[in-house]
Amino acid sequence: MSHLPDGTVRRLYDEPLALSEAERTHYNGCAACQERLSDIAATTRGVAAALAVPGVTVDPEAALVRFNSKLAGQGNPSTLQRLRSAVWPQAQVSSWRKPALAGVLAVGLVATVAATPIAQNVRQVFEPSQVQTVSVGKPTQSDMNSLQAFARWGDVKWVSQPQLQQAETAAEAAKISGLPALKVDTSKLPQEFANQPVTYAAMAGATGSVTFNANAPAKLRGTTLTVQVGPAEVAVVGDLNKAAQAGKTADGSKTTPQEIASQVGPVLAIAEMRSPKVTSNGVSVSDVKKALLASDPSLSQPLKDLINGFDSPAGNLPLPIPVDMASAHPATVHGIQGTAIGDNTGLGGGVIWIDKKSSTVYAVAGLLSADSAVKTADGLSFK
Amino acid sequence: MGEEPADRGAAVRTAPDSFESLFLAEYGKVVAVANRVLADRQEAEDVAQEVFLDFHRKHPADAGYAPAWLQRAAVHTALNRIRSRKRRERREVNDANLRTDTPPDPQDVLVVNEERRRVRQALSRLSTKPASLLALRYSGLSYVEIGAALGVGTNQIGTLLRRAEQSLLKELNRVTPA
Repeated sequence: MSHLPDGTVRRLYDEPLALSEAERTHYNGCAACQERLSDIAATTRGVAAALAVPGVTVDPEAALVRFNSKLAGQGNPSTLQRLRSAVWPQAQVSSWRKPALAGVLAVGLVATVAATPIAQNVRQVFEPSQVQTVSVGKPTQSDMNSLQAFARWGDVKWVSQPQLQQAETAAEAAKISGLPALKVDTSKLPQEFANQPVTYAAMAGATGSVTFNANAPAKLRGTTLTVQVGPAEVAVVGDLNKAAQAGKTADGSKTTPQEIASQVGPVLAIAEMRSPKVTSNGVSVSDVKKALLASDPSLSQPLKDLINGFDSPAGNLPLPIPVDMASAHPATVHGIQGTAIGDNTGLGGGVIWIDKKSSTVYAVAGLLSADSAVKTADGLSFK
Repeated sequence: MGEEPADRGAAVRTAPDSFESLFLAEYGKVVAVANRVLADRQEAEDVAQEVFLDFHRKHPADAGYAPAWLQRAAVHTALNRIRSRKRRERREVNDANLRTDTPPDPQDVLVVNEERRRVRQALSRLSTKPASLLALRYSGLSYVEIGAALGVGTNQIGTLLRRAEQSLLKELNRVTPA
């Protein structure tokens, strides 16, 4: 018998039992084939070392829940999309939204500032305990460029990603989030919301990290900031299908906000979320603020105010309010100082407050006036 | 298909039982294959979700070829991701070079995962078939399973694997162009 082909010797290394009797007999008596196996084994060990990765442990059950949640969103707008359409109709979504998201990202970077000198020990550096509004206009192009540059400063990794899941009941939502159930009694809501369907959704806590990379100023590089978001629950009162449909067909240039609101019908969202927490293994709050402010001298004053407002005073969460679209004023809900926000059409409004004792952020918003949102929030029980 | 209660306001599709069984049986393997290519557990789980969604849309859950299809799709999707990751990294380096004349700090270049990244780049430079073969074999699939996933005769796997390993080592030893 001639020598074994390379492929057969290769298989011998992985699956020795797969060889035929004749091949095995040849191999046992052939020094040349045995030497080739040694070479192949060395190559294989080298490739195995190169391709080695840390072992992964997955939770298929949890993955299946996420899969079903994604599947549920296919063909229909996701819960989040429907919620967004419902609470903020399409016609009102101007170019402001994208800047706002970019702003949130920048704000997220600022939120990750640490109050300690460079050190390896991880410590909590930020947990919002109050909301303070900052008026912003439409971001300038220069602001937009800066925000995009800020976003490149950090490499973001999610250990566990925020995954909003639909839930059949308030109890199921509470089970997902671990928070007290948001039981909504529609008969106790303002009349327009009575007898409306309620949709529940929740997410477990999520953890992500941002490591400042080579794009960031030298002083920040290498610092890792870990952000914990959630858990959270939301209950939406109203017909989300109708709202999503209205959002889809609305033409911002032709349809008035009033017409869209009428198509959407009554919608109210009630949400509770554990205050986000940020920990860091280095750099100081002032270092990060200084770096952000110094990175582009042409930043607009509102953006500078937003950056400066973070954690000053301690626990402060600046909330950007677009002056041309909305206004805000202080409001008291369940004895806690919060912020009421109303859009300039008078159609949409909401209120947000933070309970320091339980480290929980609450929000009630929908197609109702800011004052009505406050009154509604005050009438709800969050126990 | 599950029915959504009327007051939920939307018809919700849920995976039927046979699909759930397939998902639970194969999910870990699919993640392992994607992770072998990506070296990133989170991204590997994203790939697995994408692959199962795609399968669910197009195929019956009880198809005999399901595991092989999922493995092949996982490795191809993961390879596409590292290829686009490579393009993105190149773009970012170009952007960074445009923004500053200062060369990057060597300390920053020596990132912890540099070697792993280099291997993934080498893997992404191979043709799809050898790269897939390596990912599947080093994820622990047998020759029969690899043959089914890639549509290759089992007797050919040893030869193709040997060539793929040599190609990968050659790529790794090749000087990366600036």
